[in-house]
Amino acid sequence: MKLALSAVFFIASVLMQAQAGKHFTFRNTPVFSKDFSEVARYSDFWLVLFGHRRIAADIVFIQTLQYYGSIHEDEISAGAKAERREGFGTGLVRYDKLFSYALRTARLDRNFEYAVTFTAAALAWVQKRENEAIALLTDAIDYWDGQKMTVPVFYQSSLYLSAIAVTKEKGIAEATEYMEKAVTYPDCPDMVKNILGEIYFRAKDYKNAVRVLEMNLDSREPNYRRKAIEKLEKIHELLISGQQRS
Amino acid sequence: MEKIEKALEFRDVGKIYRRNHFFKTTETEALKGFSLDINRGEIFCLLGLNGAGKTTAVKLALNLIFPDSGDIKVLGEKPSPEVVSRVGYVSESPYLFPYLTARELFNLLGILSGLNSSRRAEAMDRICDFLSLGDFIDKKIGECSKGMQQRVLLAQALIHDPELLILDEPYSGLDPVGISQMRQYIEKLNAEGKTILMTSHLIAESEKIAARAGILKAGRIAKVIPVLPGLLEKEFLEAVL
Amino acid sequence: MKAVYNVAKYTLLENARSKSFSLSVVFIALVFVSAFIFAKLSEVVEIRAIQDIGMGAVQFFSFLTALFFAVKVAFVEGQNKTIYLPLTRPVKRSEYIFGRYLGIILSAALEIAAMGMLLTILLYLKQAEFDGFYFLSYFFIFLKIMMITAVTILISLASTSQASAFIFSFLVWITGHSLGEVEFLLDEMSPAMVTMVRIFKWIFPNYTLLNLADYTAGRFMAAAGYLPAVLYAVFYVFAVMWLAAAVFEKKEF
Repeated sequence: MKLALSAVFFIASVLMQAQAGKHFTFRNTPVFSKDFSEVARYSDFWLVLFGHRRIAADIVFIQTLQYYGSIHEDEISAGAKAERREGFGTGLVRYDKLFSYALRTARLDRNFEYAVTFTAAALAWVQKRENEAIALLTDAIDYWDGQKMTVPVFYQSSLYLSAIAVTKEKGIAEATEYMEKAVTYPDCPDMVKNILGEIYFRAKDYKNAVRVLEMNLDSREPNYRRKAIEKLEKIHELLISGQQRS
Repeated sequence: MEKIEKALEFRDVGKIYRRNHFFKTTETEALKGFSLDINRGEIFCLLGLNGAGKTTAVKLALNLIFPDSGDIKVLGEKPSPEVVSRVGYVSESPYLFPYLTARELFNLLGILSGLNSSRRAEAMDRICDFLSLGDFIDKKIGECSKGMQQRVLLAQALIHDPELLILDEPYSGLDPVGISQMRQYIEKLNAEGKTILMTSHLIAESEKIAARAGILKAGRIAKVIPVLPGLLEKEFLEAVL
Repeated sequence: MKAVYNVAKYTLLENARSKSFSLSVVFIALVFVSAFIFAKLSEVVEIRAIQDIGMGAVQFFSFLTALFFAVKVAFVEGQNKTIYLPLTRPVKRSEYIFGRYLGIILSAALEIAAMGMLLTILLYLKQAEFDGFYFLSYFFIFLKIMMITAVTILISLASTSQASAFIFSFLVWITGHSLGEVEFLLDEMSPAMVTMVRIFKWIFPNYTLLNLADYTAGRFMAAAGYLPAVLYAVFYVFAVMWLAAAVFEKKEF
C-alpha cells in the first residue's frame, strides 16, 4: 500500500514537474568559458552547485569593482601621465581584464543588468574600448532575446548599446540623447551621470551639466558624490567669474 | 486459561542479523532454537554473557525486530503495536529525549499509548508519587542526573499501566543506593501483579528478586531454573563455561 | 492523525530547544553581520549583496539544520535506542515517521520565518524595496528544505553510518541544483545522456524549478508555472515519505 502510494505521488510529481517546466524558459550559461578563462575561479562553480548563483555574481562584481579601483603595475598604460595613486578614469591603468570580469559576472547571473551596464559604460566611456563594451552588451541582449520573454528585459542594455554605438561612430558628444534616457532609470550607475555631466560641461552646456550632476549629490558612492560636488563648484566659479567679466 | 498463565512465549525462535556493506552481506546468528515461557505474575531474570542474545530476545518480544523462524506470543498474541501497548519497556541506558521535560515525555508517550488527558494526568500523578519524581518532572531530561534519568526511564514504561514489564539491564550505571531503590520499585510493581522480565549481569541482585532465571548461551536457553539463595552464580557458571 | 500531530508538536519543541538550532540561528545572524561588512565594499550593490548573502545563509543553514535533524531522527535515534520509546507504543510506524518529518519541517519553517524576518528588518532599515518575489523566495526555500528533509530521512533509513547519510544527502542537494545547470549542454549531448538527465530530474529533487531566491527578478518562470512547481515539491515529498514509511515499517532496531 505504502509503495503504491509512493508510486502514485511519484508519477504526480513527474507530471507536475513537466507542467512547471513548460512555463520555465530559463537556461543558465556555463560558469566556465574560454571567453573569460583568465579570471574564472572554481569558487563560482561551488557556489552555483549549492544554488547560490546570485551570491557568486555579487562576489565577482565586487571583485570587478575592486579590480577597477586599484592600480595594477603590470597594466600601466605606456606614457601615462596621471598620479600613480589614482585609479580608473585617469588613463593610468589599462584594466585589460575588465571585460573578462564583467562577462564572468554576467554569465553567473543573467539578471544582473547593473553589472552589465556599469562595466559597459566604464569600458566605452572611460577606457575608450567601445568594442568590448558592445561585445558585453550584445552578449547580454542576445541571451535575453534567445529566451523569447514576453516582457521586455534588459531594456537599459539596449539603450547603452545604442549610446555606445553612436559614441563609436560619431563621438561621445553625440550619444547624449541615449544617455539622457539612461539616467532617468533609478538604477542607472552614478558613473554614467558623472560622464554625462562631464560631456555637458565640456560642451559648456552648464544648465544641463548642473541638472545631471545634481543627481549624484545623494550618490551612495562617496567618490561620485565628491566628483559631482567638485564639478558643480567649478561650474559655479565659472559662472560667477563670467558674470563678473560681463 | 492458557492465555492468562503465560505472559511471554518463545517457540523455537531463530534470528539472524544481516548487515549490508556495499558489496557483501555479513550474517550473525543471534538466536537459534530459542524457546522460553514466562509465567504471569512472576519475576523472571534472563542471564547470559555479552552477545548471548538477551537483548535480541527482548527486542523480538517488543516487535522492534522480527524473527526469521519460530513463534512468539506476548500476552497470548503475536507481537504487534496493539499488544505492545500492554507492555512496558525500560532500555539498558537512559536513552531519552534530552530537550524535553519528563512531563512532556510522559505526555507524548501517554498520547501514543492511547490515553486521554484525564487518564494521562492520573497516570502522571501515580508514577510521580511512586517514583518520587517531585519537581524533576518539569526539568529537561538532559539536565537530570543519571539516577533521575533512570527513574524517568522506568516511569515512562509505567505511564500506560502495563501488564508485562521488560527491563533490559535495569541496574546498569546505578550506584548501590540506586540499585537498592530500583530493586524496591521492581518488587513493588510485581506485588501489584505485574509480570517482570529482566535481563542482567548482576547475578547477586537477580538472586534477590527473581523467582526463576533462564541462562542463555550462544543464542539458546541453556537452562531454566528456580532461583534458590546462594546457588544462582554456580548454576550460571556451570551453564555458560 | 492525532499521533502525527503530537509527534510533530514534540519534535518541534525538542528541535527548537536544541543546541544545533540555536547554533544555526547564531551562524545565520553572524552571516548577516558579515554580509553588511562585505556589502560595504561596494555601496552600489550593497542592498543586493546583503539580500543575496542573507537569503543564501537562511537557505544553507536551514538545509544544514534540517539535514542534522533528519539524520538524527532516522539514523541516530535508532543507533542510540531512543526510538524504542515511541516504537514500543501502539503507534503505526508510518504515523511516527510522518510526525517526525512534520516536526522537522515546522522547525525549518520557524527558522526560515525568524531569520527572514530579521533579514527583512535589516534590509528595510537600509531602505531596500521589496516585491512579491522576495517573500515568495522564502516560501520556495522552504519547499526545497521540505524535499531534502524527506530525501535525507529516506537515505538515513537505508544508511549504515551517520557519515554516509550526511554525504549522500549533500550529494542529492548538489545534484538537485546542478541538474538545471547542465541544461545548456543538452543540445550537445547524446540522446542517451539527455534521457539520463531527464530520469535524474524525476528521481532527484529538481531545484532549478524552485530556486526563486537565485532569480528574485522572477523573469525565469511565467506565473502559471508557480502552482505546478509547488505541487511538484509537495507530491515529490509524499512520494519519498511513503517510500520512507515502507522502509521504516520493515526496519529493525
